[in-house]
Amino acid sequence: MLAKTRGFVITGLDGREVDVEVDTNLGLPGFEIVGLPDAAVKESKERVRSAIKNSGRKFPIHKITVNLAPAELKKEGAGLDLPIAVGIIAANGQLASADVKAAMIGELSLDGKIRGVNGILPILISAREKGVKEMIIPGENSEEGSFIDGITVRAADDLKSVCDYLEGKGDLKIVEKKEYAQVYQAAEYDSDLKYVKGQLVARRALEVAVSGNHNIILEGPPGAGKTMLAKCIPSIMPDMSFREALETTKIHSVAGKMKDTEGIVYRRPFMSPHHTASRVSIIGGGQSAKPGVVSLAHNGVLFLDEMPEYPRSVLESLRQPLEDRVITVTRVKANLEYPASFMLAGSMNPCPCGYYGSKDRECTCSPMQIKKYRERISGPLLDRMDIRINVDNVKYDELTDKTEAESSAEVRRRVNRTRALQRERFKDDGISSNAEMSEKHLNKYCVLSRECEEILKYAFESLKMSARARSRIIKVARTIADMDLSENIEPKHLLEAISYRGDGL
Amino acid sequence: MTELTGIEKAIVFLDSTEGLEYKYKKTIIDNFKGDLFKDKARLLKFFEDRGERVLGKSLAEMLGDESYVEKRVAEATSGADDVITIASVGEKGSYYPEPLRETPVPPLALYVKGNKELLKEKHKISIVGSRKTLPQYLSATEKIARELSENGAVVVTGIADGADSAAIKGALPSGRIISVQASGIYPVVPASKQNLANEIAKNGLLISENPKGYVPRSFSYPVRNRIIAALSPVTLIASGNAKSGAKYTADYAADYGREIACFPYGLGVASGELCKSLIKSGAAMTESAKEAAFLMGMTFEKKSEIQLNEVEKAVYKSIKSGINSTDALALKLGFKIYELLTITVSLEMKGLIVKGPDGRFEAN
Repeated sequence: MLAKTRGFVITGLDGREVDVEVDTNLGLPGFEIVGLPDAAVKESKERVRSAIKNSGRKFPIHKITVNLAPAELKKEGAGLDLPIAVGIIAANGQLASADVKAAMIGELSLDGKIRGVNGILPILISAREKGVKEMIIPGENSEEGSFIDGITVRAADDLKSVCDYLEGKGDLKIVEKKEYAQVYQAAEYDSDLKYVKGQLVARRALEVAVSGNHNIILEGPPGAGKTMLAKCIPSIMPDMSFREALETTKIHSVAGKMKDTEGIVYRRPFMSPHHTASRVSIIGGGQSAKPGVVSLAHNGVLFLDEMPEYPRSVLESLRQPLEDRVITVTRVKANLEYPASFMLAGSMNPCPCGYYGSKDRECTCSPMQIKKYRERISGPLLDRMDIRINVDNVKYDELTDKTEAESSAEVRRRVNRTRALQRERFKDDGISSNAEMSEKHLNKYCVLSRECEEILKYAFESLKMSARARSRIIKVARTIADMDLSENIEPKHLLEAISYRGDGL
Repeated sequence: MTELTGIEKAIVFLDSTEGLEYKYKKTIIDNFKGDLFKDKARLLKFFEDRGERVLGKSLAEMLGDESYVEKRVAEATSGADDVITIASVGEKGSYYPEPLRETPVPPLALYVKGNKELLKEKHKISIVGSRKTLPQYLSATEKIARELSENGAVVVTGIADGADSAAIKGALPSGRIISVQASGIYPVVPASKQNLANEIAKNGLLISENPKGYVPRSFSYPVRNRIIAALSPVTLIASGNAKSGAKYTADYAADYGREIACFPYGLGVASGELCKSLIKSGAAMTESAKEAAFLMGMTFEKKSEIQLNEVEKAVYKSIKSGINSTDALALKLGFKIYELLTITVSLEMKGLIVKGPDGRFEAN
C-alpha cells in the first residue's frame, strides 16, 4: 500500500518541502530509501525500524521503498526520520488514513522518542509560505515554533503520541504563540557600559560608531580594556526589531545554536572568533556550505580581537560582506548567499610587544617590526573602519572618579533616536545608516559649509592625513551632527570626527 | 655630468675596485695625481715596494685598457648627477665642501644627485638620532627641521627610520635637505626608503662617498656618519642610547670641533641616554629651532604667534602642566568629552600638541 507524508529539509537558510512516499510490496523483506539521501538520511533506516518497534507498532515484513521527492534535491540531516516512520506505519495500514495531511519533522531515537533538529524556524517560515496549515515539530524545539503566526505548530515528544494524534486517539500540545515585544523587554546584556570606569573617549566613540553603524578599531596596550569595551557594543545597539530577530534566528537555527534559548535571538549577537579560526569557519562553507561566523554575527557585532593576528586571507574575505552585507559561499554542491550585515569592531596593540608610545614601559620592537605589524591590515579594509581610537590603561587616580557611569540602556535610547533619523533620511536610498553612504549620498546629504571645507583642508595639511580619510571623516561627522539633532554638519561635528581618525594607520 | 679629468677617473675607478683600503687609494692618488694611466712602470714599482706585486700587476693591467676603465667609471657614476672629487679642491667653483676636506679622512669622491648648490650653503645643521625614537621626539625633530629649513638652514642627515626620517620629513617641503647615504646613490639601503630618496633628489640632495651599487656593511654606517658630522657646524642629537649610531656622529662632531646640541630627556628613558650623557659633558641642551639657530649663528625669525581662544588656551595650559589624557582633561576642566575632543583636535591641527600612540597628548 502507498502512503504519503510531508517533511522538510534545509538548504542554505530556507526550508524545502520534501514529499515522503512509502510503498510496501510483497517480496523479499527489504528497506530502500531513494531520492539523493545523504549518510544521515540513509542511516535513518535503522533508527526508524527500532523506533517503530519500540513504539508498540509493527514494522512490516515487506519490501519497503521510500522515495524522497523532489529527487534532484540533496537531502541532509536526520529531520526526515519522523515522516518516514509515520509513512511506513501508514503504508502498513496501521493509521486511519494513508494520506497524512500534517507536515512533520524530527529525528527519532531507537526507543521512539523524538529529538530536536536544527533549522526549525526557517522550516516553519517556508512551510507557512507553502500553505502548510499544521506542522509537528520536536518538543525540544517548541520554543522556536512560538513566534510564527499563520501555522498551527504542535510539539511531539515521541512517535507513539504522533501516531495516536493522527489516528484521533490523542492530542498533541499546540505550541503557544509568544509576543516578541514581551521577550524583547527582558533583553539584558552581560556587558554594560555602566561597569566601565573612565574611558570617556572610548565610550563616546562607541556611541558615535553605533549611532551611524560605523566600524571601529580600538588600539591600545594590553590590559587597557579594549575587549571589555567591545563587548558592550551590542548593549547599546538599537533595539532589535522582530524582522531582524527572525533573520538572525534563522541563521542561528540552521547553525544549531538555538539550544536552551527562548526560541528567538532577541539580543544582538556578539561573535568573537579566535584568530586561529579557519577562513571557512569565519566566512562559511564546508561541504554543504554552512553559514560562518560572519553570518552568525548578522545584525550584531563581529569582534576581531588582536586584528593583525588574523591571517590576511581571512581579513580580506571580510571585504565582500562589509560592502554588500551578504556573503556568497560557493561550493561544488551549492552556491548560497547568507546575510552578513554586521558591525565590525577590531582591537589591536600599537606594536607586537604592545607598549609602543607608552610612558610606563619601554617598547622593545624595531620600527620595521611595527611597520610590518600594522601593514597586516590592508588599506582597503582599513578604509572601511570609520572610527579609530586609542585606548589607554586607566590610571588609579582616574579610577577614583565618583561620578556614576551612564548605563547602556540610556545610551541605547539616544542611539535609537539617531538611527530613526537616518532611516527616515535614507528611506528612498535603499540604505539605512550613515556608514553605508556612497559618494552619491555624501554629495546629497553631507554638504559642507565653506568654513567646514576650510577646516578639513587645513586638517589634511597640518595632520598629514591621506586623501582616503576624507569620506570616512565626513560620514562620521554626519553621524555626530545627527546625534546633535543638527540639520547641517557644523565645525564642531567635523572636528570631533577628525579626532577619531587614528594615527599611523 | 661634467667631463671627468684623468685623476677623477682614477679616483672613481679605484673607488669601484672592491677591497682597496682608503689608505691605499689615498696614497695612490697623492703619488700619481693624473698620471696613473701613463706611467705603468712606476705603478708596478710603487706596489712592489709595498710588497703588493700581484695587486700592482693586475691594477696596471686594468688601467692599461682604456675602454675597460671608461666602462667601469661609467658604471660607478651612473645614477649620480655628478661626482665631486677631492682633486677638484682648490679649483674655481669646486663643490667639494671645505669643512669635509679639513677632516683627517676626507672622502675621495662624493657621488651626488639633486641640488648640489646646497653643499655651498653656510648654515647647515646635522640632525641624527636613533631608529627607536619616541613619537613625541619624532615630532619635535620634524618640527625643528621644518622651522630651520624654512628659515634658510640646510638639514643634513642619513635616511634611516626614526629621527633621520623625521628630519627629512620636516625639511623636505622646503627642499633644504642633504641626505648622506652609507650605500651608493642607487640603490638606497634600506630599499623601503627608495621612494623617499627619489623625493629628496628632486629638490634636495643625496650624497654618498660610495659608487653605484655599493652594499653597506655594518661598519659603513659609522664611516658615513663622519661625513654627516663634518658637513655642518652644528650636530643635533635627537635621541640615542649608548650603542646608537648617533654616538659615532657625536664623537666625530666632537673630534672635528663642531657644536653638539641635544634634546633634553627625563629620567629612565633609555632612548635618551646618549643625549643626557652628552649634555653632561658639555653639549648644548636644545629644545627649539630658535636655540639651534643661535648655535648655528644664524638669525631666526619667529613666525607670527598662533591665535588661541580662551578654551584652547586653558586646555593647552593643562596639557603643558602634564595632564595628558583626554579623560583627565575633561574631568579637570569640566568639559563634556565631545566638546573637549574638538578643542584637542584644533590644538593638534595648530601643531601645538601631539597625540601619542597611547592616545595621550604632549605639548610640542
